[in-house]
Amino acid sequence: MKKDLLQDTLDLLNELIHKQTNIELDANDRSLQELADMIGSYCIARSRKMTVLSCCMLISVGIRKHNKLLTSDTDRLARSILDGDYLVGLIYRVAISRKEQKLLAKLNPIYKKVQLQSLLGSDNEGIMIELKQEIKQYLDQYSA
Amino acid sequence: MKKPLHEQLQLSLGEINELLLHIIQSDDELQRSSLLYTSVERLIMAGGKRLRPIMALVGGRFGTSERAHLAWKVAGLLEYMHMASLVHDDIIDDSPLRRGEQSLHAATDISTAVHTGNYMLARALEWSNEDELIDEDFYMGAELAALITELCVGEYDQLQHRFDFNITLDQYLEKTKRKTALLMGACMSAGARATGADEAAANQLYEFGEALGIAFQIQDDLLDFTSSSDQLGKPSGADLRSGNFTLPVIYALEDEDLKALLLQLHSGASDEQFNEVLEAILQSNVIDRSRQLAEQYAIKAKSIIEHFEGHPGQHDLQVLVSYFLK
Repeated sequence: MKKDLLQDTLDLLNELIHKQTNIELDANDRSLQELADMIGSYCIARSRKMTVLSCCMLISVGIRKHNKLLTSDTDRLARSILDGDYLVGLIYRVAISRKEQKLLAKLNPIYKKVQLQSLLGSDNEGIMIELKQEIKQYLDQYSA
Repeated sequence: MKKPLHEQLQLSLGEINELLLHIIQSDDELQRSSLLYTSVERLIMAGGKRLRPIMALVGGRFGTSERAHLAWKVAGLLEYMHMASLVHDDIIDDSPLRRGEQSLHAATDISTAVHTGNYMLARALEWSNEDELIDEDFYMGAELAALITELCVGEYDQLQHRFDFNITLDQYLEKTKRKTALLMGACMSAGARATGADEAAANQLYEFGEALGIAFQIQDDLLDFTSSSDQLGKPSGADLRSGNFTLPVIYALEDEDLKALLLQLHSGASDEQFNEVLEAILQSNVIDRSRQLAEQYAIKAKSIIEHFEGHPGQHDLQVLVSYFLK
């Protein structure tokens, strides 16, 4: 059941992502599975669980795309930059269209923090833990 | 001599620049001695026409004066989104210059420039929500941020059509809408919505801004053919050399002689080959034809002004059209 939440969310996102981008997300990420487990444990509508998990996946993959830039290959570099930009833009589109706007107030500071950390040269290893904490807080507050 | 656009609209570029600086200066998490701060400051001080904030502020004149400060929020956010996208575009297009100065990634490095662009978006959204009710204003900012997906699809489109000799006018116009016109339309309508203008007016203003955006982009694409590198502040003919085929090339492909020359081009073609094509295009009628299409879009914008007959903001829309028709 929990596995299905992650897979269903992936299917939803792969359908929403514009075909021209050629971006395909996959579920081989343990931290995303942990997030899916946590979100799945809340007593909220399944569509909301999918929206929250979608935004988490998008921010996580979007950040990764910009942290692993292959500067020696101009085509791949351009794609990685565009992919990251597109996925982050999609967070806003998904949250708004599925009426989960308040979630953005949690995600935006995390996204900003990642940029500040990256510019200082530190990795963003702890960011998934922080993301999980913020999402938990959000769901505790808005799952009633 | 005609006054600059901002003066004709009783707007101060100094105030707009102060607003843009305020967005980073008011970030408690950012140190003024940091590379990030100086990089963003440098981008702001490099100047620019500030068309997007100007359009947002003009859009804001169609609402109520009590909410005018919210149009300034929209103006700041949209200009930051625009500047951030230029930083990333310069990397994607491998452009070492912007407005005659080193582009950010050339002055720093690619990773710094990418994260600086990202920070600018995040900070502008955060700032647009400060001191306001989350239920109203953050959502408007988020709706604008969602437009990034469309800007990106325009960029993907451009990448996928490099040296594509089959590119059509419709494809060019679609890409132009996504890359430029949509954001200009959003500037007008978001400025109007933020200040409480009615939905019908906001929609008309979107159409107006979109039409002007297409006219603007066509003229901007023309400059790549008609201006010198010194005038542009970057190498002339850069679009053609990178295989980004704009309107003059699409029209040139309709001419058998020009088409034969164009078909010889590829990413490894020599400077002489590119220069020969640039010269042939300049000598042909395609530049005039392109200008005529830009004018048609400006005229379309002009026709929308009629919907605002008697409104005090109507004159400002006329000023914008005259500017884009020049």
